[in-house]
Amino acid sequence: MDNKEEKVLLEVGNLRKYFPVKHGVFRRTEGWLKAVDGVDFRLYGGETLGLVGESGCGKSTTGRLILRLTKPEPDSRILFRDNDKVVDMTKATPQELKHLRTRMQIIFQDPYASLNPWMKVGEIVAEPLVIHKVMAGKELAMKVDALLEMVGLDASYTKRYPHEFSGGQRQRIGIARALALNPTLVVCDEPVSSLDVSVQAQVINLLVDLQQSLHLSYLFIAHDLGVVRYISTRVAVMYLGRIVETGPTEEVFHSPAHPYTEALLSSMLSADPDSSQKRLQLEGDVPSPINVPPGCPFHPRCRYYQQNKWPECVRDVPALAPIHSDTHRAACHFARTLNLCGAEAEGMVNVGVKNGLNT
Amino acid sequence: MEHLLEVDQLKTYYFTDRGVVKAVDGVSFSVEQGACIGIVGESGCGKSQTALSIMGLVSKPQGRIVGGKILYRDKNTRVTDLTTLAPNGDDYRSIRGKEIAMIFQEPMSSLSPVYTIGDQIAEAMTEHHLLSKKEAAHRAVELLKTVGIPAAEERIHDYPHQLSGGMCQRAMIAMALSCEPRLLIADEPTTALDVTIQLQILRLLKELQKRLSMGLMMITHDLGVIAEIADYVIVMYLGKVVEKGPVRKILREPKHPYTQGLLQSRPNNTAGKARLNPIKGVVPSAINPPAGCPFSTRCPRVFDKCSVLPPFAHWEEGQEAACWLYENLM
Repeated sequence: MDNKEEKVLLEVGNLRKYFPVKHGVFRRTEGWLKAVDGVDFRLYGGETLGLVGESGCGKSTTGRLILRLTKPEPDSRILFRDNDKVVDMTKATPQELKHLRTRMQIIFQDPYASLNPWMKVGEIVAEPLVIHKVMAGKELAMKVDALLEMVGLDASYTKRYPHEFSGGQRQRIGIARALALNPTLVVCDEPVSSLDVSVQAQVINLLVDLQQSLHLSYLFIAHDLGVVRYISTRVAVMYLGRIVETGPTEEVFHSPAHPYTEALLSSMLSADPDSSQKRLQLEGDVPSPINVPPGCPFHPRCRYYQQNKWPECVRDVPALAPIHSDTHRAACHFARTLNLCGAEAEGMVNVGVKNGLNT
Repeated sequence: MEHLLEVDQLKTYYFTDRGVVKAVDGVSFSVEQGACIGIVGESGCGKSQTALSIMGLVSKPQGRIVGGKILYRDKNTRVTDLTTLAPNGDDYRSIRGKEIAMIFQEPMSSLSPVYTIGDQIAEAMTEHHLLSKKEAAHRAVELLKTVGIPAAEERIHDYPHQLSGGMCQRAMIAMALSCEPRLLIADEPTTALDVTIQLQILRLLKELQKRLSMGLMMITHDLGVIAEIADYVIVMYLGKVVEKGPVRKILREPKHPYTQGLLQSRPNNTAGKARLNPIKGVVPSAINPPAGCPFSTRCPRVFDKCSVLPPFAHWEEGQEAACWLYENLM
């Protein structure tokens, strides 16, 4: 761990974002929607951290907060390593922020909505370089051609408009734009979820290749567990604005320690016709983040709570504590006593549900 | 066993300014009562257009069914060719929604925002003169309970925006089931939903299909959904069926290079961290499809024979694939 410490690219501490809920004629604030409520994680240089969870769990807000596209609550910490200097993004001045944004970029989910239909592809890819006055003229044109070729597009496409391209090609344009300023951190917000299966695989391969050649770190936000498992070094599972489990990808997928992770993994659909029988089904919807349940936020849907009615689950908010090793952590009072099922390498196989306790 | 629905050489073309789009080009398959057929393919392969053709909802004036038959066998075992009925006529209207119902892809945009959930579910029942308004409202509550919506008595007074995506999709299913259809067409019913909700909805559909002995036609791009729910699979590409067969055969021993490519593109089917093996290129434009085999422009095993459209090769258990690699089995 020690030698890795030096390479921490991003450290997020107590990251919170509350949105006011307003009602009535006078738009009085009647409550707070806790979109992100105390998230801590580290991102190391050159790795991919997968952020998973159901819609509304705060994963996209987390990505936006890190880039300071949304302002976090005052005592949040977002420490970012810019060369040898560590900067707190929450305290950065607008000038500092502008510079820092050359180091961190985002790839958006919807390739149809994230490219300006009035701009030519060449202008879209050149825009970050123009705004930050990095280069101009012939040098700029050559750089744009090189960027397009890097993402597998023909350099002659610069004169075309986004509507002339397919979803996969547009996503490549979005990737070229994100990489124009040589960032070290790229937030990928569901970059492949709107693409067809075969195109999805092409874009994933591209992201992996670019990561290796440019030594990029990805914060990979997705709801597709198969994609996350494939691309991530480590994963963090979010539920109602909090991280409920985090650890090395294979460890979390093989031996999850939080009942929510277990349920999420068992909902993964596999193309193996024999694995479709034994599944744990998660009942109900995600509760509203305006009225987060007391104690463990997951307890109303937790099958182990329903079986045992442990008082701790309703009373205390569980901390994200180490389970098998220091790197694998889960926020569950009974993480050490529950024996949960993981996902097999070939999609999801859940044989002989070991429900109940070990002890 | 007699087919509930038989689609024979269906051709649905769109006549646009830029040319003729052969959205569905000679598709044949059949749906049995109490079984689930899965139609799988990428966007633009014609799977939704096949469904809309069956429902008589091909958008006019550009779209037209130009050939083939859609034979529907009703309760009295009388067979009707749906393509011969006027889409707006009384005959079609007595079938649509009542005997053949459809669940649309995006629950939020398919429900009307200005009517309550209860009104929308009751509409089909009163429209088909099955029940009075009061009875229909009562039945709407029962249906919402069937699809697992808690506090259904209160929910029927809610508008779609007051419900979550999963809840809206359940309401859509309740609506489709309201007249106890004999055939239910589900067009990507879970694509917009979270994985945990997806599993709930698929379970629900499977259970209802068994209980009501419905024919279920599941349209999806996700082979995982197919593995979960389908008994029989049709793989479509550029308006044509390239492979069909029982679900186990298709997923375990896919024959057509396109089906094989789709399976290999799935990240969780790759052992370890090996590089993904995607199908190269993109789906060609439907206005200028390749001559011969539609997949020939992207196929890793293409050879000179592929410039002619291949017929189906046959295997045991009714698996068929349209590919020249299996010429000896044709």
